[in-house]
Amino acid sequence: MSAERIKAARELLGISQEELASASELSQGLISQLERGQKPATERVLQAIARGTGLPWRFFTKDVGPSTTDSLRFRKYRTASAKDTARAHRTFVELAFAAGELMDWAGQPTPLLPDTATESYACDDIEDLALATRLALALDEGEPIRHLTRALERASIPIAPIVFTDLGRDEGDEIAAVGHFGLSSRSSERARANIGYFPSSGDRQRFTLAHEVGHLVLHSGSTVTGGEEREADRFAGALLMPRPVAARVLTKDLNLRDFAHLKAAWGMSIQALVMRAYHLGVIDEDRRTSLYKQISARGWRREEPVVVRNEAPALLGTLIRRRYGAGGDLYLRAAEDLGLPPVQLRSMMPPVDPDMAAKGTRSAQVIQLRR
Amino acid sequence: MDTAGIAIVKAALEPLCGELHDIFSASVATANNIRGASGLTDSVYNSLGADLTRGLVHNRISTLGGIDTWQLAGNHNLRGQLLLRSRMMRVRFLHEASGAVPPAGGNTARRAYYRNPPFGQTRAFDAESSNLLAIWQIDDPELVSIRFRIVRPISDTSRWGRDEVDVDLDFILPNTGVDLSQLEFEQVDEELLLELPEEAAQDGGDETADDAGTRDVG
Repeated sequence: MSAERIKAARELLGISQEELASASELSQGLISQLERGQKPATERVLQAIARGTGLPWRFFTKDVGPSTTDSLRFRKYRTASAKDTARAHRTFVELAFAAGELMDWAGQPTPLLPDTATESYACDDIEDLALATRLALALDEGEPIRHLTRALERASIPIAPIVFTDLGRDEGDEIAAVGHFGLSSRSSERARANIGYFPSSGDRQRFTLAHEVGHLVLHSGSTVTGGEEREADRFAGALLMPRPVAARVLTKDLNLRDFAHLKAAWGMSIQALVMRAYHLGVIDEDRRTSLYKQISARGWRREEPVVVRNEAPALLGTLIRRRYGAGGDLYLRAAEDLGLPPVQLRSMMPPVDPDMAAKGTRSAQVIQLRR
Repeated sequence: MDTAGIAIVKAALEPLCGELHDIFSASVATANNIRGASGLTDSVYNSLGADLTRGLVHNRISTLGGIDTWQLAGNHNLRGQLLLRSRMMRVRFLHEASGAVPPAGGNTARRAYYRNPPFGQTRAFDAESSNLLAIWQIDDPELVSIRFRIVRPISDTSRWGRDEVDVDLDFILPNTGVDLSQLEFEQVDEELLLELPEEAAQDGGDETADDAGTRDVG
């Protein structure tokens, strides 16, 4: 257990054995032996590592178990480094453990997502499951999803931004920096589900969340076959713009300005809408290529017109405040209990804007969560 | 320089920014596909591409019911004439691969179209009744991006020995209109309603549960 946690600490912090040894005033050889289980990790050694890394003691004593790691899905660029990938995975596994503790403490119900698992899906199956997911999330099948994050949180799926806080970057496009989009997991017994995302533009964030919901619905418990990312992309498009609506609003004559107006109506990027039209056979490959070329020519690959604001998660921030009370040392207390550094907890479970409740009542459709 | 007159013309053209680029770009791409499917890609058939594009653009604008205040005008059957009118202002589209302004030639109607009263000698409504030319050319065949040079001709005759046409307004129509940058997806933040068991609700310390053991939080 301790051997695994020492390696986990390195992955979480994105440091090498040599760097860990230096920070902990231990030899690199000892760290290597500890990780390989060739030497037992004594309490004195673990204390040294905890001091050197600033990780709470609980980090080294908790058992995150296999239920999260064996169902972990993620979407990343091919260029993402192995180190960043390992770090992203470890961060998410630790997040899922902490979120699970909070959700269990608060007696939150398990998510009621469509239950399915098969090797691969036909396009029609994915469209139908996306509609079923809308129903499960209490979303109208013909309307834009005005706040996907909140809809998922109300269905007991914690959402967390993942930021590597120590890299000294300005806040911004974490996807570009880390090469990852999002991660998700649903425990094998399907008790808890979690989604993490790397902050970027609002439309990308929504698509990433929808994509990860696709993994939760389509791929929990299934073995990796290689087609999952395409299936989850298709699901994301279908969740954000269901086929009956798409059949009405997407036509073969749409130009980029039409797509921009659809983006303003549905909160999907222009590129995702073009792909949606292509997936549904509304436009052919030539037209898709032509539109993408026009998008590139205008510099819209990097920055599209039409503002889609980022959605702020609220569930974990609310629970952490409920459990540990208010006050400046809230995250310090939570860190000792949940086994993650306070800065990281604060970035992944940010404090909730007290004005949000008032803002949220504008056109809120409130649905009581069942225990 | 009549800056007020120029401002009037530019403001009137604003709804066309981006919209025309998209329509022409899509039409050129479709025309290319049709030519390709018919085996008519050789440069000897280039005029066919321009004719097809004009027809497709006309059809598209007709389907859209115009662009903002701009409506189709003129007679498209007259060698594919493409003319837009907004109130008293008109824009005639001419394809010229080199981007140069074609001379008026001998056609009486076209010569009349070219005779705008020059800015500076105009009355207020002369700017509003400008006859403009939009010289369109394919800027990048690979990306199918279109360039529109907008000119306001003030003479129906070319200067002796030159092909240049006298104009008093000459600019490239911007590719993107301002309205796209002002569009925004309306986010509605719904209330997060948490139902907590009694012991969990009491653990928080600084907050209290309501009678039903539930609280609304944002």
